[in-house]
Amino acid sequence: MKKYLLIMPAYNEEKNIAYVIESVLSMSLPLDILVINDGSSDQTEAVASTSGAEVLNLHYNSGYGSACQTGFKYALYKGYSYVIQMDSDGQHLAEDLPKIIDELEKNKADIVIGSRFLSTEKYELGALRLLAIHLFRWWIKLLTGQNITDPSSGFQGLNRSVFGFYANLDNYPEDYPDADVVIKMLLRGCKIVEVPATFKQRQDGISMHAGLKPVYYMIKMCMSILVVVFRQKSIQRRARK
Amino acid sequence: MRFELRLTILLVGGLFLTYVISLLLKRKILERNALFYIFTVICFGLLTLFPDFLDTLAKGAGIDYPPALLFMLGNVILLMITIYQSIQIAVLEKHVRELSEFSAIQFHEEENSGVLKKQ
Repeated sequence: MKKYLLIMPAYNEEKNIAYVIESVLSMSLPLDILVINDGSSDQTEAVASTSGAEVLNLHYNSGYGSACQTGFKYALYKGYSYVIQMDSDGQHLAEDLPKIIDELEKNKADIVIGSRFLSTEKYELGALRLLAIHLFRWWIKLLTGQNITDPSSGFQGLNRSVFGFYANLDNYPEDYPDADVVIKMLLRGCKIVEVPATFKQRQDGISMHAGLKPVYYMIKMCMSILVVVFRQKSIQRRARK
Repeated sequence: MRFELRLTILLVGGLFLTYVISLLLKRKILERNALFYIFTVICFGLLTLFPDFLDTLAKGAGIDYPPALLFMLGNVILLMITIYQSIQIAVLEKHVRELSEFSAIQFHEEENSGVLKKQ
């Protein structure tokens, strides 16, 4: 068993996942790869397994967050020191993994976020998604005083205390963890560091943020952020008593 | 309150009560849920049978037409049931999610240790 566990939630990614796994394996990094097959109806499991990854199968499509959380539970159970989350659609590049590993080990960061906005390469985003990201950045700055350029990035490295916390059911959303989780962890006093990461458009298939979903997403996330802040305040109030 | 309206409310209440009891007997509803429905039907029945009490309540609440109070109470109860069901769904979803995550890991471990054969 290696020190790092790379988790990849995957839902119907048979066309992209082989390339992603092979590119990670070609880097010869000290990590094991775990694909969490989130109830795919295609050949994702077989393709991932053949490509050299361990595969965990969820019985139904339970959402991105739930798939990640299964990975955190597995990492905790197996005793890994660090977890790195990476998308299975080819958006994140294996070449950026060493930067995340460096920050986790050398700078003792609790969370390392691969930020597409710190990269020199441009990443095309729809107007709505860009608006949502700007809004979330503003929320984070307002509530925590910190600048996080890419709170929506799913390319993250986590140390054991963080993924151990996320493994608890109530501490991680079942759908899309985003600025709400970043704010929660900053308010808990975690050290979050960003590193530049190049994001590519997905290789094949439809993004989970396609269509009008960003509008719903933005509204839902604003509500989640408020819930996080109120919960955190109530925890602090109880702690003071 | 007109006699026809009282009769209609009592008839609908009686049918509803029969349906709830039959669901209870077939074990398709939990006792704690059935109790709430039965209690509600009894309350509505009593208010219909003793309209003077409903009139007094309506007057106290500033409602000119007493049956409107009955329908308002009905709506409030429906809202309460909806919220209760939403809470139940959230709790059950949480349990299902926890079980699904746990069983995925368990299956994987058993497959790897050879207890289960890979399909």
